Amino acid sequence: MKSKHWSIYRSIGQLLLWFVFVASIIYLHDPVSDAGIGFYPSLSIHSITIGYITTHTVKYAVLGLGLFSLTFLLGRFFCGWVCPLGATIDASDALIQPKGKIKAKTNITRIKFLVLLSSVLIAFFGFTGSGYIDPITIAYRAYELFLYPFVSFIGSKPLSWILPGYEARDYPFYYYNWAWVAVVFLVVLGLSSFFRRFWCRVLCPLGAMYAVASHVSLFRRVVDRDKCIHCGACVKGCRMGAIAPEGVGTIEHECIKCFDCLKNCNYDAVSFTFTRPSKVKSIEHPGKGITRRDLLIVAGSSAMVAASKVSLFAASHDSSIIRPPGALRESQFLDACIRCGQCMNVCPTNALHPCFAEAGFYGMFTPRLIPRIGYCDFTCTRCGQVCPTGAIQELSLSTKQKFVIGTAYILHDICLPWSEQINCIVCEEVCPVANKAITLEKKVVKNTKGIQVEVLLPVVHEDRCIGCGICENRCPVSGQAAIVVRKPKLKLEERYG
Amino acid sequence: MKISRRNFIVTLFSSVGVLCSNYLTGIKKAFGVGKYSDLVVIKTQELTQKSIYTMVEQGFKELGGIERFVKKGMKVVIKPNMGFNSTPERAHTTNPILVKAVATMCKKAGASVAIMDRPVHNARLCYRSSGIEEVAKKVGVDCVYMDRDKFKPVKVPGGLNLDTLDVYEDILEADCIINMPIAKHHSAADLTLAMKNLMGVIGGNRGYYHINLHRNIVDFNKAVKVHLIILDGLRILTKHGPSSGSPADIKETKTVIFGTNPVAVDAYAAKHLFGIEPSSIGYLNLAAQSGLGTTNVGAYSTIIRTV
Repeated sequence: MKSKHWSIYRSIGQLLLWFVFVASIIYLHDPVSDAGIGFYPSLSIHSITIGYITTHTVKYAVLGLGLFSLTFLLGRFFCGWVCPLGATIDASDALIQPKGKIKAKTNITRIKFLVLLSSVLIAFFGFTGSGYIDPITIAYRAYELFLYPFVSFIGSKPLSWILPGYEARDYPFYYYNWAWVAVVFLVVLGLSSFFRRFWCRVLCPLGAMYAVASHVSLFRRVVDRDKCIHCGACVKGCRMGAIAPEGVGTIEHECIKCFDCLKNCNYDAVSFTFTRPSKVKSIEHPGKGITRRDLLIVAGSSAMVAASKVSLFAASHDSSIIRPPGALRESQFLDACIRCGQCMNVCPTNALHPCFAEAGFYGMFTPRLIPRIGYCDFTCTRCGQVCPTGAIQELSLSTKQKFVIGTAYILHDICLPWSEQINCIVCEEVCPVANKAITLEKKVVKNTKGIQVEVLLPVVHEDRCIGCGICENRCPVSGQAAIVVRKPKLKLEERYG
Repeated sequence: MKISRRNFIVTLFSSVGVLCSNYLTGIKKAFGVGKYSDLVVIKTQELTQKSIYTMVEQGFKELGGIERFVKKGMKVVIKPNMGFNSTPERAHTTNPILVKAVATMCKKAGASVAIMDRPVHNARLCYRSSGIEEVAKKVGVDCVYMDRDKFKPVKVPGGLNLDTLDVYEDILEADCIINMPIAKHHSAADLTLAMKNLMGVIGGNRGYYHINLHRNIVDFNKAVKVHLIILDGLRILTKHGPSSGSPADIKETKTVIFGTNPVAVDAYAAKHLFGIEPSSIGYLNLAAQSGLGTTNVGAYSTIIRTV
């Protein structure tokens, strides 16, 4: 392969796959779409490595494993072609304009292997924290929870011309704690101000996985030694720093097959061909520069993180943190959730939001239901359908309609009928439970003016309430609702009943 | 002008005639000699698509033909109740086959038909699960999502609780509004029928309308004048309304009520479908007091047919 157009083909391919990524988010956000087809998280580290063990299904691993096995053939093409975060980092180069280079002696690119190793080690202690640092979930969260609400707010009219029924989606919507999601995303992009693709070269654990596999890949960059004049144009233009200073040798595990060196070479010396790894050797091993000291630091810090899981990262017992219906028991839920945020995207009522530290640091970016912003729809099971890890179990509709996620409590001092003797039955009206978890008691009382009036007082029946939160959502008292949903008193075993 | 004897007598009798004309219409009503009857009640033995179609056809025939309401080129808005994300079996939303029958007839009459509602739940879910979006597509009429920027303030003449209301633009521009409520129990309003169904064309905060609900319902009906009401009394929810209840709470009354006066339709439905005295319902009483009609069902001329 010698054509210089391959650099442009690559850009177009990357753009198309990025578009598929964005389209999947916009499609899944439609409340009547099929939530079962959320597939992008299957590219994440979790799905490739242990996803099929925790979910007992290969459904979510097929795509990720397929792309991963292609790496043995094509090398680390994933980072240059498929990765949505990589595409965003490439696009942001126009704004950030990275200038610097890595200093020759500091081999900081080894850090990504240490990050990967560390997350594997921690996983042995039952701490699946890969979701925090996985590029797929970082991109997913940022696009769903931070960028898309903005786009939808500004562009709802033009989008409704393209997408029928767009105006009927609940807009404007927003996500609680979106700013923290944005901070992580912007820091990752901002790292490029040191040099191009800083994140991908230095920190990305998924990139490290692909790097290890691509060390033995067959599709390689070959330089014609007779034509090459060592001008250094390819070295300068390489966004991954994968080319040796003299221009001939390649660090195979850093090459993301972007074909910029093909384009930059004025002497037609560069080509890409299928060849045996022994014939065109990579000039570096993936593990180059990793010292015994590094490994000790990784082991020590991993042990510390794992140990701190019981204290700093412990599951929180904040009663206002309501998990989506079908969520596992809190500690298991935190282990299983990869924080991709898809459940929040598919929720038709904008009820699910990312946590920051409310559920403990370990619960960062996990979904919680905030009834005042959105309630759990009685006939919807989309979050369970879309969850790629089984952290939210897929429930049948009849199970979901009995699944207790919380219990409503009336705040008698601000509830209109209880405190001001004004008739208001909104919570009772909206309650979806078949025999009504909120009922009205007729009582004759004296109001503040001393006049005898008949009021209907709402009363919650805890045994019937499933905690969907529509009462809190629709309560006409402004600001703090006069009815709030808190964690259920029932044990989880009873929930599945 | 000189007053001649002749002039004086003509003026006297004509003014007396004008004054009495009010009584005359009253007398006409009392004897049922009006051109059209106030209420047309169609009953059936079985609930099939065919029988529902015949009910609608029969109903329009008794009302004086569909041409009385829908003419060629008219903009017709059908306002069913699809306020909740629930399937037709649960009887929270208007029967889709009934909507289909009415929409088909309007379309045949040459009108451009739009179906719309402002649901309590997410509109996209409600439209789909009620089955009405699907039948609209089959018939080939629009099922429109309401745009929250298209509500326009309207003065309420003689409002009991509200001076102005935000009403949806398409409703204000429509040549014929067909209100198609489902009859069901409602915890706050006792029953939700034709008058309450108009909340679905009003903008603003729904929660606040539930404080002083009965007065607000009357005000909705003062602000928006509906041309025809077709009340779905095929399967009615008698308990735990408007948005829950079990199959045991649903009663098959197999009735469709046609009328032009919302108070008449509601009073009849309350009395004969639910067995509740209309004067015991707050908003019907208030509506009668403000001169929209009477809660005395016997005062309306009624045609009852079984198909």
